Amino acid sequence: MNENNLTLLLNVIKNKGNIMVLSRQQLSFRQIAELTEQAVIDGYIGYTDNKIILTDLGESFLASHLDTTKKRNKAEWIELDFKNKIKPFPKNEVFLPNRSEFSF
Amino acid sequence: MEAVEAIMEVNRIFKARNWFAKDTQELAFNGFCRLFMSLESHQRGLILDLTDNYHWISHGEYQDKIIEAMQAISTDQLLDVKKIYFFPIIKPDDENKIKSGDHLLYIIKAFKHLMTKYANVRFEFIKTFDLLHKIQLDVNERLYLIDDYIGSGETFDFCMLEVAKNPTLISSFIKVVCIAIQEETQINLVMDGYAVLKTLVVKKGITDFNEASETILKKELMREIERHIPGSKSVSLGYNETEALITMARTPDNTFPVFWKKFKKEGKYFDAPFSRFDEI
Repeated sequence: MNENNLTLLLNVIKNKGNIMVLSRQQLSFRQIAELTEQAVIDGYIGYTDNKIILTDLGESFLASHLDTTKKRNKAEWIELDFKNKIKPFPKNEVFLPNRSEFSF
Repeated sequence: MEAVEAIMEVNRIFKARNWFAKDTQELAFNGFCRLFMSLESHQRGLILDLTDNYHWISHGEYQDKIIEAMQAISTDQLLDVKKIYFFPIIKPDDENKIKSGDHLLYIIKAFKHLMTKYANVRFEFIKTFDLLHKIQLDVNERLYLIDDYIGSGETFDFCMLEVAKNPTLISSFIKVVCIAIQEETQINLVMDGYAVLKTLVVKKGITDFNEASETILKKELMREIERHIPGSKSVSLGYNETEALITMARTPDNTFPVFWKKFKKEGKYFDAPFSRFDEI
């Protein structure tokens, strides 16, 4: 079982978060369902009063793995802003902006 | 109930009923999951209960099912029968449209040899109401009316108005053959004197599975869900409030619209689990 996905799943269940976090990991709904079922079988989650909750095992797994799911590398979670990228001017070109367009 | 629990439950239902074999692209499953994510916590349980009682007969099962329905007759009823006329259950207005009944007629024609009880009976297929009006039904001849699913019986009633124009077509010589039929409609047909050959009888999704007080609450809850389904007023709880829980090759509009009509949440539309793709 992918530890990263399991951590995200346990975090969603603990904080009543949105399951879409997992579909952003390229998991299909069916894979999410299977992952959840496996987590029940493996004892990470269980039921109390018909409510789904983390077991002690789930809690301690989450506590020790949550940190690793945080993306530290900026390139992984900040998308490049291609939309506002402008082509550089050639070296010998002179740029004379309209006076009214000055905003500073 | 949390969305993730509902998704896990519906996965169990899909596996237990072997629905993934029919849902090869997981469109229905994804439809259920998106629906559960859009619904409120207290609404999810109702949809799961209904899904538990839901019937899904894929197009690939039509051949076996219609043969099974045809064979659901006692041989002594066929002793003196020489010929059976077949006609699809359609409204006169739909005569030129492509309907499921036509398709079943072809299956019956192609696989007659598998309907062993009819080995000594000749089959004849009628295509228009005009021809239906003209046949002269003899004492050793029968008329079989065919459709894949009979919901509230409205189409059947329209069809029967035409049948009634031919005085030789009397009810004791007519049989209704279908893959699935709503229980209430079947009772009405039998009371009117028509024998029904079928493989599946479908109950009303809420009314037939709950006590009266529960029924009122659950219908109210369903209407609350339907407020998020644009255009569902005319088919609330299914057309004519049939409360059907069935998908055939297509999903009949007698089925609760939450299963086949687009759901709208925060301005976005989501495809239903058993989307009818002409509902765009």
